[in-house]
Amino acid sequence: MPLDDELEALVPRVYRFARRLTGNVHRAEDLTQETFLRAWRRRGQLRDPRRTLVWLFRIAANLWRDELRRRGVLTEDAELTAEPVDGRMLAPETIADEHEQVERALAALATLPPRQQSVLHLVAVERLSLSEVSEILGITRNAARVNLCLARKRMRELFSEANQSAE
Amino acid sequence: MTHRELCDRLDEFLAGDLVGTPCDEFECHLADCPRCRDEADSYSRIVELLRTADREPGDCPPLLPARVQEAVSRRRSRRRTMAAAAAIVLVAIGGFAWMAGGRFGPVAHPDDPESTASGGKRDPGPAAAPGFPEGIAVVEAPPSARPEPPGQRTAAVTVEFSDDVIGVPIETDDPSVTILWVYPTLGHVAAGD
Repeated sequence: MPLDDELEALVPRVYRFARRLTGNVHRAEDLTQETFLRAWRRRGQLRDPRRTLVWLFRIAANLWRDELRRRGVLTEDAELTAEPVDGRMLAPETIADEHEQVERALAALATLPPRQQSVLHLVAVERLSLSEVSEILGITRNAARVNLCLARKRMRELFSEANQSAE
Repeated sequence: MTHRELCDRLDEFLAGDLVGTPCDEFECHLADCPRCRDEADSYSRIVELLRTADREPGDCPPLLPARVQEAVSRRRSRRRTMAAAAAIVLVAIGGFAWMAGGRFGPVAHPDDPESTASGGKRDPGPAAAPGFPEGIAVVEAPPSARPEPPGQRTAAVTVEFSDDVIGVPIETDDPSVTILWVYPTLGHVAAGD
């Protein structure tokens, strides 16, 4: 590096994942930058270029986990709970009509616990396998499966609630 | 596999983790299980919406890739500066050692009337002290030198080493500056020890 085109093209995807992890656009930008800096420092560790994206996601997840530990807000099983972490509620009345359904889905996603958000994002949007997700997040494959199950059930519930409120 | 066991594999199926026979089995199960089918349909809808959201323009700040690029370049530049500083120290130490050994006289420029070495070649000088590597530097005008601005002179520097050391030139961002890493060979280290 400097970042080649192929790697630079992954910046938006790492950013979106960082946004799922942090729930905040500014922190997501910082986390994305830190991810690529660490990736550059450790570029010799990447053995298989086909796994670059998984490698970058894992770095981002590790950096964010370290950050949470530093702030003392990471507990062992806190992220496995089915309850929203910050009690954010859907606000369908504020949602623009044009992208109503998409916004509802995103609003529902934002209410999930961070780990469930991450798992759902990686599986649904990035199309990664449960094994890859478990590697990125440092959890077992079964934990990834359980989180996906909880996430989609919760999404379904929230999404239908939001749709009913809008009607 | 029982109906319940197949239901439990829904998330693996949705994540695309089932391939071959297990996937075929699950697809048959989906045709017979309204509950799993319903769950799969609602998940597909959510996936579709999330992927649509992911493709929305303006999702990633447009300047972020450039910011990341710049941060990496800055870090790279800092490391190169540190490496260059280390190399200069190494070359200085090496040069001092050679001169102390009497093997490295002043280099000459062919246009320099005060130069003591004719033709740009250095005088080999007395024999080196045991353990010091030898090197010869030749400074000469480049073959197709154009008229140079006042106060500037262009020179080509050739450095030849004995088998005791390896010199590795490293180009810098400034075309007029090349850093020379000088490594003793294993044979020299062993001999020096």
